[in-house]
Amino acid sequence: MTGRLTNFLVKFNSFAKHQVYFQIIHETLTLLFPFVLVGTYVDFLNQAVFQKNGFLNNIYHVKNWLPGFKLLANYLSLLDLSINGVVAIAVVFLAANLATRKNAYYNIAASLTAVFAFMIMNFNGSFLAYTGRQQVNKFLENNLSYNGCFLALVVGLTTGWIFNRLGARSKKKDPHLMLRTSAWIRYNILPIAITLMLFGMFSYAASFFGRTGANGLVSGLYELSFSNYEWILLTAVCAAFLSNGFWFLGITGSFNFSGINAGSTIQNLEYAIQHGSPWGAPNPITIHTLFDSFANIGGPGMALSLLITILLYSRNQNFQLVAKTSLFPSIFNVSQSLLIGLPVLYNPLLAIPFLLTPVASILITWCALKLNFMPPTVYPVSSSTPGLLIGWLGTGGTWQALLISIINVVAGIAIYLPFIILDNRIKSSRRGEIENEK
Amino acid sequence: MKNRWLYWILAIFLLLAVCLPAYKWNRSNITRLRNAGKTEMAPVIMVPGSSATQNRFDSLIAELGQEAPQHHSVLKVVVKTNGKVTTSGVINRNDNQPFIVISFQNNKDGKTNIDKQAVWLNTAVKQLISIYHFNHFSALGHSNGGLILALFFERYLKQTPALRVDRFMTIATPYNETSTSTVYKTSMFKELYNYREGLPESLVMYSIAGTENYTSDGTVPYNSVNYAKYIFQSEIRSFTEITVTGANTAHSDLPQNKQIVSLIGQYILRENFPKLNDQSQRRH
Repeated sequence: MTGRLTNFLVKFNSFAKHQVYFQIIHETLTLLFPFVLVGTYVDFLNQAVFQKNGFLNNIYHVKNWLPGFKLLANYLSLLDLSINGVVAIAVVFLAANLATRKNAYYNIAASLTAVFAFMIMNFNGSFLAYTGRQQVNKFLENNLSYNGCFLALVVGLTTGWIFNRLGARSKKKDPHLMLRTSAWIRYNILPIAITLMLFGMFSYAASFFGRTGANGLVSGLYELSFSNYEWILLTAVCAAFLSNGFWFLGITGSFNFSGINAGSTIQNLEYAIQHGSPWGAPNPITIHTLFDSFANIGGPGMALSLLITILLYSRNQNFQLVAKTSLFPSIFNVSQSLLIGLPVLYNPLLAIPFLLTPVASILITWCALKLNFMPPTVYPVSSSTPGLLIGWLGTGGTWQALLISIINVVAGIAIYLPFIILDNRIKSSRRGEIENEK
Repeated sequence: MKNRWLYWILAIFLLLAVCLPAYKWNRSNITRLRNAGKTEMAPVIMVPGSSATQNRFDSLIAELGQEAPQHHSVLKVVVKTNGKVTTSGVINRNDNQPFIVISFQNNKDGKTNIDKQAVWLNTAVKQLISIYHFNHFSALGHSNGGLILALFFERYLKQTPALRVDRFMTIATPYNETSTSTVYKTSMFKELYNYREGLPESLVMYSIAGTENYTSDGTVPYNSVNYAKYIFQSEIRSFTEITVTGANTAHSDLPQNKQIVSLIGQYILRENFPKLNDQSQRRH
C-alpha cells in the first residue's frame, strides 16, 4: 500500500516536472529567489526591528538607544515597499519571458505586454465609479506584492500562450529583428493588441463583481463563507486548508481572518484583564486561538517544521541552501523566501504535508484547549513574534502553551519527514539514472 | 565535538536572550493593557433623593472627611429644568477621587419626574466628562437618587460608550416605590425591570437597606428595597445586599449613619478606614 502510494507520488512528481508550464513556474521562482531573499531580510528587519510594534524593538527597546532610528526605519520601509511591494510585476515579466523564450521575435514584446496586462488586471474598478472628494488609488497596490503572484503567473503564462499562438512564425532567424522597426511592429502589433484588450475586458468584468479586482474575487468568495460559523473546529480546519492552499497558489495576505472574530478576541482580552488570568476565557476556541497562534509557526504550513526537517534530513543541495538562508527570518515568522525558494509553492510533493501540518496542529491545539490543558491565547503579541513563542506569550507566559507549540512543531516534522525522505530517494535515483546513461 | 558544544551553548544563550526580555515585555504589556484607557480621575457621583437639595450629602461628606485618610474635594451640580447646569465648589487639581453631587431643580417625587431627572443626570454627566475628562466613576444614590442612577445606567449610559461604572451603591432605594407588597409591581419597578439589560455587565453593585423595625426604615419599605434583586441579580458582575440596623436607621438619617459611612469608605472609596465596622467602641 505504502509502496504503491510512494510510487504514485514519485510518478506524479516527475509528470508535473515535465509539464512545460510547470517548468516555467519553477524557473520563474528560481530566478526570482535572490530578489525574494533580499526582500525577506529587508522585510524581517523592517517588521521586527523598525516597526513600532516589532518584536525585537519591543523586547530590546531598540527605538530608545539606536541613533537615527527614525531615518533607518523610513529607509527600510522604502526598500520593503519597493522590493516586496511590487514583486508580482517581476513574476509576470519572467513568466511571459520564459514562456516565449524559444522565439526571439516576440520574446521581449510578450514580456512587456504581460506587465501591462497585469497592471490592467489590477486596475481599481472603483476609481472609475468614485466621484467623491476622497482620493482612490488607480491600481490595487496590495495585489502587486506576494499575494498577486498567482495572478501574475496566470497572466504571464496566458500572454506567453497567446504570443506563441499568434506571434509571427518566421522560419528565418533574424537577430537584428528588434533593430528593424517596421518588422518588429508588424510581427507584434496583433498579439499585443489582442492580449491587452482581452485582459482589459476581464478586468472590467471583474470590477463589476468586486472592488478588489480579479484577485479579490477569488479570495473574497471564500472569506464570505467564513463570516458566520458555529462549528469552529471544522471552520478552522477549512480555513487552514484554504489559506494554505492559497499560499500554495501564491494568493497570500488577501486571506485575512483577524477581522472575523475580532469580537470574541476582544471579549477574551477583556475577561483576562478583569480576572488577571487567561484561564476560563469565554471564547477558548476561535480561529485566532487555534490557527494564528499554533498552526502558523514559522509561517504558513508550519514552515519551521519544514525548515528543521530539511536542515536535519534532506540531502537536496538546493533545499539545504534555501533553508539555511531562510532560517533566521523564518524563526520570526517571515518566510516568503523559504516558501518561494524551496519551492513549496508549486511543488506537488511538498503540497501534501504543507496542507496537512496546520490541520494536525489545529487538532492538537483543539484537544489541549478542550481538555483545559492550557488557556487560550488572549493577549496581543507584537508582529513578527517568533512563531514558537506566540502561544507562550499570548497566554501571558504559561508553560503548557509553550509545550503545545513544541509538540505541534514536532508533529509537523513527523509529517514532513516521509516526503523529504521521498525527495531524497527521487534525487538519488535520478542521479543513478544519469550515471547509468553515461 | 568541541564545536558542537559551542553551538549548543550559543543556542541556549540566544534562546535566553530572546525569551527573558520577551517575557518581561509581555508582563509589562499586560499591566499596561490592564490600566489602558482608564483615567487617573474617577469621581464618586452622588445623587440625592427626592425633595433633597445639593446639600443633602454635606453631613455624609463631613463624616467621610473625618474618617477618610485622603481628602476629597466636592463639586455640587444643579441641573435646571431646561437642562442648563450650574455648579458650586471646585475639584482640587490633584484630587483623583472627588465627590460630585448632582441634584435637580425639579426634585419632586413620582415616576414622571424621576424619568426626567435621569435624562438631566445624563446631560450633567456628559458635561462633566467634557470638562474633567474622566472615563470611569463610582456612583452613590440615596433613596430615589438610586432610581435616577439606575435608570441612567440602563437607558442612557450607552450614549457615552467609553464611560465605565466601577461601583454603584444605593442607600434605601425604593425599587418598588412605597409598595410593601412582595407581589405587586409598580410602574417604576416595571420600567427598571424592562430596561435591565442595558446595565453594564461589569457593574459591581451594593444595595443597602436600613430598618428601624422589621418592615421599613420609617419611609421606605424593606420589601421595596429588596426588589433590587429582580433588576440587578445576574445582569451585572456582582450584586450585594446589605441590611443595616441599630441607631440612626431612620430613612433620612441613613446617609450619615456610621455603619453606612464605613461601608461607603470600604466599598466605594476603597480606602483603609480606621476601626472599620467596629461600632461597639464608638457609642455616642
